[in-house]
Amino acid sequence: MRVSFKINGKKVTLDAAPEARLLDVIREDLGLTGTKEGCSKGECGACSVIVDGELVDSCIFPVAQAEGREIITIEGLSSGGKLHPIQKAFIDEGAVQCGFCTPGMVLAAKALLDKKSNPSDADIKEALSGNLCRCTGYTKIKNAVKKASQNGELGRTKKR
Amino acid sequence: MKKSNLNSVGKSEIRKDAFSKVTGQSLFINDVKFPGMLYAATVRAPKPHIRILSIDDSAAKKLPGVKGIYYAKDVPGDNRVPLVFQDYPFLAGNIAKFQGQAVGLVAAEDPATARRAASMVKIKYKELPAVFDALEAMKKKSPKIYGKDNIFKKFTVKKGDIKKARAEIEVEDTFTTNYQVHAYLETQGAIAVPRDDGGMDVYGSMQCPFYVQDAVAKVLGETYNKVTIIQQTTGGAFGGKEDVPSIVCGHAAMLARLTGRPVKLIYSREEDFQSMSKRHPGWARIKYGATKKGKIVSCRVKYVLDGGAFATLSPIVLWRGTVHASGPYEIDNVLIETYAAATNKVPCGAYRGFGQPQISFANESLIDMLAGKLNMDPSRLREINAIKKGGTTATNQKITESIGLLKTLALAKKSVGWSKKWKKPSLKKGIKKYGIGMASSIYGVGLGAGGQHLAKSGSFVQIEPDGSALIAVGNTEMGQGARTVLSQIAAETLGAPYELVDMMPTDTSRVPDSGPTVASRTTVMSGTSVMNACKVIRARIDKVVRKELKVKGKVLSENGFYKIGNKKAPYAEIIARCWAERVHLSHAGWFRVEGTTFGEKDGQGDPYFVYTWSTMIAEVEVDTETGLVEVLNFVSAHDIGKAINPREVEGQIQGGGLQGIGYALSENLVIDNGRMMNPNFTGYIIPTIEDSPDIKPIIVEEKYPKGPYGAKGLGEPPLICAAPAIANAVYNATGKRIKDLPLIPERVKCA
Amino acid sequence: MKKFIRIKSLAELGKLREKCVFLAGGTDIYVALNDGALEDEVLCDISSLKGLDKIELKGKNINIGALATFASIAKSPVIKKYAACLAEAAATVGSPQIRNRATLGGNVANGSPSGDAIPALYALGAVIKTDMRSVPADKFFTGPKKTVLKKNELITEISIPRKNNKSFFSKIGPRKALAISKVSSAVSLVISGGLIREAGIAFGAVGPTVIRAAETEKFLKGKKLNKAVISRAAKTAAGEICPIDDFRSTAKYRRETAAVIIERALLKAI
Repeated sequence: MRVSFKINGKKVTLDAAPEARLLDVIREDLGLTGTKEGCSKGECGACSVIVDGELVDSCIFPVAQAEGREIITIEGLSSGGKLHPIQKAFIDEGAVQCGFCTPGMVLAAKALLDKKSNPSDADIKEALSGNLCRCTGYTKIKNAVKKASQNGELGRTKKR
Repeated sequence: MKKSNLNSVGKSEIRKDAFSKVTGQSLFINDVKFPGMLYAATVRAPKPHIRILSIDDSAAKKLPGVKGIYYAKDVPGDNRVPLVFQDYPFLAGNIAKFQGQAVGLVAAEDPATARRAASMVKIKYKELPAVFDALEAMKKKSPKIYGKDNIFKKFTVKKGDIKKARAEIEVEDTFTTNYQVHAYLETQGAIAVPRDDGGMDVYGSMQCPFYVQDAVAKVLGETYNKVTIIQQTTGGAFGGKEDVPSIVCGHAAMLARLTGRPVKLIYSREEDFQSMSKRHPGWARIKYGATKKGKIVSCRVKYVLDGGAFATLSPIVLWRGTVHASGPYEIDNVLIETYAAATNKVPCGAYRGFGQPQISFANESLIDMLAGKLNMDPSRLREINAIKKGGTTATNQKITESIGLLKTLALAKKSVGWSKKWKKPSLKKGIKKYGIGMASSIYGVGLGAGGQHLAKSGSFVQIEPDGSALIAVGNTEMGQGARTVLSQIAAETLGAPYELVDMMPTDTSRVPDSGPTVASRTTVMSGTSVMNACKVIRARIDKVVRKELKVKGKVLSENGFYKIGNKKAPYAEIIARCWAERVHLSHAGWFRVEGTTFGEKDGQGDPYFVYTWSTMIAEVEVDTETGLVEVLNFVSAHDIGKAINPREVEGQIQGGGLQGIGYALSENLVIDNGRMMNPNFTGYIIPTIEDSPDIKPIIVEEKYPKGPYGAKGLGEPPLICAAPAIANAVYNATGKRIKDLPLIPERVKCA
Repeated sequence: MKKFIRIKSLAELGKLREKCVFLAGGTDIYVALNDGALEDEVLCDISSLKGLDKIELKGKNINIGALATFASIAKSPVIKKYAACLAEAAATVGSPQIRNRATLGGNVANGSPSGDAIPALYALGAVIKTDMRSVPADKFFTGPKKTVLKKNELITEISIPRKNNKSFFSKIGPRKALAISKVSSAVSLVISGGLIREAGIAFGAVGPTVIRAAETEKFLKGKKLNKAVISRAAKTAAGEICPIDDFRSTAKYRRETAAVIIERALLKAI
């Protein structure tokens, strides 16, 4: 099956089995290995990507349903070597340890901040509730998302 | 506040690997490919204890893309995993002893074909009598699966004379704990690449490249100098990638040798659950005797670990649990008897805490029960009995330095407002009840007397002509921050800017065998080794500095400059000068630990060179009608000697603490007659962000003079006494003492 | 999976010859596929069927298209107003990633007794509409993961009668997200003149299908909602369910906790 979609702003067209998992197409066909496989059941969020602005688990997403959609993976966040404010906040706040959950976690934060620029702690927890982390205890991740939400570079007027 | 004269150590420097991880650039083993690479899958034993009668793989072999299916008979070298008792085969021969044990390996052109072929292999077997409970296994009539008595190992610690102790009050009870699964987000994986000289390179997710080197050399029948192991960025480990990567890498290497092609082996989450090591389930009967005034005079412990089907690390896990079993208290009369037993279940091994969390749950719960009997605030009972400077441990080791236990107690209490908040359970009313509880621990840093032969650490440091510096060690970065901390130590000692120093991926061909990355030993062992190597290089640099500045005296470094008195020279210039004069700007370090002892018969001696001390306090709200426990607040104080990187230390305290909270409340692996019922994240419940309190870390620094910049060890203590802190808080809330982990709602419900 | 096909319109349903497993969001089916199940099945992707994801108030009913996701249901003002317990249930399903993909139709077709949306459908008196017929929600399920759906019968819409009701959903799970219920309950009450006119009560995860507490509903009808009535109702309800012991929980805990959550839900309605 021919399938076409936009990924990280670029249009791609490729041949894939329609039932192929979006995760495998991203990792194998497109060589974008930042998206990880943690459980194969939509239980851990390591495979999270953003499709048309919505956070989804790519390990349970058939590529046939990606037709015509816009997908963002972790590789699409930094541009020209410049980090996205969320990525910068993760680094500054110590929200990264082993790094395996990080791509999915950063995208979950992006999906939230793109909709809610000034999230409460409860909003942050809900938005990230589908992303498991075993290393950090989550506190510094939450702090990073909070810090990123206060960053003017996100292109929204922030209340100080 | 004393101003630090250190440039990098003690600062919350940015992690070396943060950028590449946050951009998704870091390559984990499943992200890596080699030309011509094959994919492997594992054929596993379908039942807990079987005699394999025959294997029919004819249909599997015919699948297009299958290159071969291999068994124990195909192992080129030695089929025994070279660890401790060496009783665990890489591949089962005639007998398999746990459901999920590896029996065969498939090599195929793609992962789906490999898995499909593995599922098509038919094993004809006869079921053998099996035993699934450690205490049952130790009984005379049980089926024997290890030796004559199913006991892998036992230890005794005898201090003073328990029979002569004058106790006015006694408490005694039995406690049990269940498995804990590491649940690292990245499953096990390896790629073995055969070299054109007949050697083998293996890349993988692992903590201990030298253990893997042992294993790959043995399984191939190859000399060590032809086997190179390179650690790939590792997505979490916590002890779960200490010894079992030897099996994964051994399997990949065997297939690479037999097919002549690179082979990738990645575990699915389910098979990782079913076959990889876990925290041992524990059983303990423990008794404290005390005077009416609260001085503990005796402690008796019987402690049993459920080791699973093969010994693996059980003897060593048991040893650590044994040494620490009576808690961080000064007790004159101690008798500790411990056993690790064999059962037909997945072999257990290392998990953060390594035999301590189980017994800590028992002893710290019992301390609170003793406090209750004495009608005393449990924090007061701990204060009275805490080991102080000059005091002795259960092995009669005198503690003369670096003991911050009372400080952790005091600071934790202050942080939470313990004195105002602690009330006896009988005073609590309502359906939702508030409770506060604490626990303390002692933790021997490093491998101790039980692992003396591994207590060594190699390193290599070199400064490049442009001033950047490279360090290589035998320990690994697995998320805990070793790469960053060791870079800081090197930068500090060399006088180099932190930004210019970095650590290479750990590679067995760069440094000699440096033991495993375990036992919270890396900062001390690799840190000291790196520091020593840097000191040698620094002495050479200092000579050049004195020559350049034309002054004698001690050379200090400050913000990228070398200084003697008022004179200073920039780092980069000095290094360029060194290179121009062909000064030797590299050195190999080697550090070994001496002097740890442990009596064979009575366990008396100095088993560890230094201890980390901890106190945790949990505040909970218990819904007595549903049994749900909400952790409102959690304070975790640790005396770690010196925080090389305070922010990373906080991250370790928070991460380890949450693993301990999961162990306490929700993580419940169910094995029913040898069959694992919930081998996935759907059924094995680890905390999500919604379930996590903001753990408050408190860092205490009672310097360890022999540690690098005063540092001890930190990796494990943040988990060890979390569960009893929670259990004591739940008791404080409800008056219900629960003696079995986890404290699932079904156990907590009391209304 | 044997074959993967797609239909673009309902008219194509009639042309299907082989028995199909319908694929919407994939949050159940792809988990099964990754487990190695559904090997001999034909998957029929229905995600491009137009207009099946609407949520609208139409006359006396709230109509939810089978392809409406849990995310859209959780935040729909119409559902929050008239079917609050369904909005509450939808908000607890899985995780944000799952809610963005999982559909109500898929959840119903999957027919798990722990499917959190289903007790709400029972309590609200929902009707499941397929391309062939309409079936009340509480007649739709025949056993664990078994429904009355015939070969290639497709759920198109779930219709909820509009009432002046108060409704609540509760769930006890092993953690606060990504959790399969130990026990869940949905309650919908129509109260007028201080008396209960209609009561819909259902429990999840405590029987081979979601269970309707019919006796308890009968008991409550015509009564004034007070603590004594609620306490009695809770006891009655606990007797109507048939929980089991499994690795997730025990029958005893589930039964006792069912009484607790239904009591708390009813107390909210006072």
